[in-house]
Amino acid sequence: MNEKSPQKVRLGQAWFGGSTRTLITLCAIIGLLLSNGFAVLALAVHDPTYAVAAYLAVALGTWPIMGLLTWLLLVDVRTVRGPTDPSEDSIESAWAMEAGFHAFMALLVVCMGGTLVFTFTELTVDTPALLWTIIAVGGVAFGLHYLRLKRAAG
Amino acid sequence: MENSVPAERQRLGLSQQQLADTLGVTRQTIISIEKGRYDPSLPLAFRLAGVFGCRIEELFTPEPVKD
Repeated sequence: MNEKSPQKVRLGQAWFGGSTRTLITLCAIIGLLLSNGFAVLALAVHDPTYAVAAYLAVALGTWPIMGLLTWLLLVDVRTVRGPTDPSEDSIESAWAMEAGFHAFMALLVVCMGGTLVFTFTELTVDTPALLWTIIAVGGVAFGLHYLRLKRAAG
Repeated sequence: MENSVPAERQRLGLSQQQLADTLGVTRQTIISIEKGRYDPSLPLAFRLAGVFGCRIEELFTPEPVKD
């Protein structure tokens, strides 16, 4: 019980040390590099008419996501205020599990519905649009169910 | 699962946040346990019993099975 635990702050600190500001700066820089990589890849694959606009849209759109993923990789969770160790011992973990199940069910419904529609009609959709739709449906379903559970808990 | 966590916590004069900090969980977890909306894992139940100085079965009571 007397074991010294690391100081907990809102956004945590990196596992290799340094302040929160260092961690956030690193996440922003690495996230920006990754998002620009995505933008280059997107242009190489699609070659859109408005190349600059498309590049900026992909780069800026994926920057926060890449920054967040970098934060997940770099942060020492013991320094973040709120999370538990082990994480299974939290109601938030239970909410995430349940929301994940609902998101999976939503994806199943969308995929089955989509399969029926595309089988019996002449509608077509390109693969990237289909993938983004699936990702969006999964993400939105997860987020909505998590928020519903959180709100229900008061 | 019914439990006597609120009564035991008040007996020790702990706030929900203090109990959460002691156990290393979030305050929301304590709230959900106290309201019976969340059954804690076995390790957490043991830690709760340890804090209150009682046995798990004194802290948690399964709801009677309905026929």
